[in-house]
Amino acid sequence: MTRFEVRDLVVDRGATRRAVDGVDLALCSGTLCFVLGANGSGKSPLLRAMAGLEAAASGAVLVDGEVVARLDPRGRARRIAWMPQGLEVPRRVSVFDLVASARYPHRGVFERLTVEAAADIRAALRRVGLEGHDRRRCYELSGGEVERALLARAFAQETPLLLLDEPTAALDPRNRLAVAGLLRDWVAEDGRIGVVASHDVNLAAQVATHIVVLDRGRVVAAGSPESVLTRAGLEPLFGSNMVIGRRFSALAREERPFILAWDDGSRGEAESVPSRRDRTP
Amino acid sequence: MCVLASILPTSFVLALLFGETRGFTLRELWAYAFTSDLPFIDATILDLRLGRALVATMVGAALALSGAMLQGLFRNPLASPSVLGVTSGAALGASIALVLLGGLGPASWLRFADTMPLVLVPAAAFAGALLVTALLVVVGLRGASSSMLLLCGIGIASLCGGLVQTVQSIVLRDWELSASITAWSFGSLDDRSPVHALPVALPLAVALLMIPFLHRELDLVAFGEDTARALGVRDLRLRLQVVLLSSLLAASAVAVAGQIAFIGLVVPNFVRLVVGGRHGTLLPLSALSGASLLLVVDLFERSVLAEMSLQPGALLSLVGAPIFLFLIIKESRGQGYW
Repeated sequence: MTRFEVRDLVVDRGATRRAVDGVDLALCSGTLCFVLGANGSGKSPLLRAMAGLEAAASGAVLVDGEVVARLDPRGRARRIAWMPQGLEVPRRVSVFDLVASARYPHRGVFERLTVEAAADIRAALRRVGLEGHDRRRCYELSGGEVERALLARAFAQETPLLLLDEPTAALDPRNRLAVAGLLRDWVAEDGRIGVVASHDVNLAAQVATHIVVLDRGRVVAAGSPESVLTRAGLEPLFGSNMVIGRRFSALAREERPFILAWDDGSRGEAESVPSRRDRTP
Repeated sequence: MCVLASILPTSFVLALLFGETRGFTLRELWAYAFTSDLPFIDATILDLRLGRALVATMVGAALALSGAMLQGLFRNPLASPSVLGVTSGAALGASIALVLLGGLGPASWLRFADTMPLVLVPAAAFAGALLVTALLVVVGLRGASSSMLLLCGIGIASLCGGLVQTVQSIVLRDWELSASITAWSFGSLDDRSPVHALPVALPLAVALLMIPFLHRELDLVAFGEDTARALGVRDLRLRLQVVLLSSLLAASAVAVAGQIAFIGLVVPNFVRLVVGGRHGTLLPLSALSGASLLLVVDLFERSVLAEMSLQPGALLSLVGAPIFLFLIIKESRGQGYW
């Protein structure tokens, strides 16, 4: 059972700008938390500070009661995996080597990759649907495949906590759903914690167990998808231009809200509801 | 890979067998190495060739290894010992020493022995390069990122380059002195003895011994600095180690042989084209290839082009650059190599 806490975290950007302003968060095993917010709301600095990559001006990030900033880098990498925004990878690196880099914190200086570790890497590739692609070079992969390979690397790091910064930003809708499903399964099956920074409200609606909405570095809404994905909760992200409906989600295995960024001229005066025939029984 | 590794011993033996004066047989070389029944004149020629070959081996290996480490750290195929300003620092030290030894005005008292330039100029070049290295380490200790370090290096290189030009402008009318500064900037392996190889061999040995500790971390840096940090790499320590090692390698090589262009920049790129980007293979093979290339070029210059007095740096650029350009253009039509 892992416990991940963020206590009154403040991250400054230069002398004048506060990127993260007093964020509190407590997550436990089995939680897939989506951090939603508009551009510049502080999602990426929050995730970087959680990963120990950015120094906090005040506050603390703790894993099982230990302050992340005080962990040695390899020890930290055995507990927290961080997947950056974007799909930039060295072009000539093989898919296997890309994923194998996740084993660095688990290996001694002169230790070679063990048979078991190689099997774990292939298992991670199988999990993301890239089985048999391990010898391909990164330049031979599509954007969706690179994203899956990066996800396989994060899985192969075998940490109880995974932080992902906009993991689906460059993907088409089909691949977005596929990646979201992989994440949901990974968290649910192995009892880990996933934190995803994203703009994609509908993805969060389908797979998140917890949602945090940030606005100018502050938490303006937090809780279950049902409680957060309301007109009031999403105001910082959409303004008043949104349409909220409900539909069955196979990923969530229940009916969940969905949101359209849509200016219907109502200026938030009335909630739009889909017609009954659109609802899947 | 095996081909690259076998070129060094072959080219080293060839460098001893052939040269400006006469050629030797393998039997004579055996006699030189393991018995002493070789005429004095032949033994002397082989002594000179051995010194030159040893210096070429060490200098070529040091420059190429330095370039390979820096390209890995900065994730930039254009990185080389010269972009950090180490080479320019050495040039500044050497230029000042040459001016002092050359007898400009009141400083002429330093001209107390004919042999001193052979020791003092490399020593001054090394001091200049060390000064730049110290500056870079201070900047690195303040937590500067790799790109900041690179920019600092470029700034220091520009400053040192400007100071060298100032020195050259001051002594422009002294033709002998101007010529000696210009000749030093070409780089040369003339009149080098095994003693000259020692100052390069020490940092080279340390750097080679450090490869097992560095290669995996440099592989991870290829994914981006933040990703490397997230995977557990101590980025500040890695930056300092690589900058210090590569600067010392370049400083010692430039101090001993002057500015030999091309090797630090092109050899690591060439090896990357052939064997890929894993630093566990790339770093030692870059050292081997740099050593082999400088040996072969020096041998070619001494035997085939003996009367032209071309310096190795010029020959390397003239012959190697077109080949390298051809390879790069060919690769860029495919998927790229970096």
